[in-house]
Amino acid sequence: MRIQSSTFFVIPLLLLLASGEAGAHATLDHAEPRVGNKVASPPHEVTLTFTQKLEPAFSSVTVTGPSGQRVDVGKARVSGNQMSVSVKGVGAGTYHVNWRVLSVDTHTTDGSFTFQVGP
Amino acid sequence: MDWSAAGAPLIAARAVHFAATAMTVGSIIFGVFIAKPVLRHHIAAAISFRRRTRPIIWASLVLAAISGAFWLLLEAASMSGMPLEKAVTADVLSTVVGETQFGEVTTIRAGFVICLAACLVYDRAVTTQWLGLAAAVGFACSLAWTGHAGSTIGVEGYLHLAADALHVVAAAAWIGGLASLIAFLTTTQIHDDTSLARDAVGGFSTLGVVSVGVVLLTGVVNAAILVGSLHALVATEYGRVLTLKIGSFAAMLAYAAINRLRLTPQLAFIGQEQSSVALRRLIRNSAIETALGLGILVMVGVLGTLHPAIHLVEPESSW
Repeated sequence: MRIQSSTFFVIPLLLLLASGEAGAHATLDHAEPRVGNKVASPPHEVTLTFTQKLEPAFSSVTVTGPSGQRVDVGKARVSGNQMSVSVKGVGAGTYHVNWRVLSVDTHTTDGSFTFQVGP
Repeated sequence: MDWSAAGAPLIAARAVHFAATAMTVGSIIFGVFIAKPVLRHHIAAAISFRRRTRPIIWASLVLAAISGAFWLLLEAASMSGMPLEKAVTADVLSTVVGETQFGEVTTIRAGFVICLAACLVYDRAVTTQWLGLAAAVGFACSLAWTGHAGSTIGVEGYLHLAADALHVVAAAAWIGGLASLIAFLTTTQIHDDTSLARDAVGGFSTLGVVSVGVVLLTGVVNAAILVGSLHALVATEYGRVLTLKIGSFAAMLAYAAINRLRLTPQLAFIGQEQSSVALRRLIRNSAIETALGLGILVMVGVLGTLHPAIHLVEPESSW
């Protein structure tokens, strides 16, 4: 009886770690070009990899060049937890990437980062 | 990084939907695996029990459908970034329903509701009873695809989905089954025949042990994926809500232990005052357990809107 009773009190402690319908949010795992890094020449595309699967219909990314003009071309492509967008190079300087994504578990997140182009 | 905040309406819709789903599915499971075998030779008691539980099942199913629809509208507003009144358009809703996993799963779950409703209407045949049970289980376990488990990547994602689906069904069987157990024990013909109560409590006790076992195993998997460490449990908002859930769950299991180890054996004293007292206490404890279980479902509704603990304590050095 004592063993059974103990079991009933140990089980809840373990059980309660289970969160059931816990929600998550997609965070940026890494990007190419790398966040904050410098590359020698303008990239043809920017690829962002997230920690969760994304919903293409509600995920987007914009890239602006050194003078503030939009340099992303066409619609962002989403596959699984990756999102890519083509970029037209406009020379050396700081590029800003702004993203907004919806993970498959319905949570929206956004963020931004920069990378440098130059020698 | 700006995390979007989920509002009280979304938490309320989720909590109501989880509770209504648990009540519906748990009642169906109780009816098939507990009430039907125990009452197969007691026609009057079976009819009386059916009259008591059928309105509960219908009300729960309707509430699950309404709260599910409201949940979809709130998600449409959240996904589109627009106020609710502007998000409720054919354009936005068709995109959400047709182009997101949440929308597709919601459509499938609506199909389960319709199938279950049809089976409840035509439940005289054995086939429709089992089909109804299958639809109920599908209605519960498909919730896993609307949560974190549905977006976990790689092989871990399949494990997470399987664990979460089983977790939801087991929790629904337990919490919803408790409500049916109370209805069973308070049905007049059954209340007056302690042997029926003893058989049902014994059967539910077995169902409870199986449910707890499944919830335990799948909970460990979920914990490893979503929490990861005791530090994450105490250092994050997610962890603190989870700790509150732990306290409620501990209380719930304590009552379950009293019911199983102390009160159930006393039902064997048929016709004696001791068994009547034990039966009254069983009903009271089961009601408290149910209330605690519903409270836990509210916490699950909140947890789903918070950032999982494991992500908040991980260094973001992979960039």
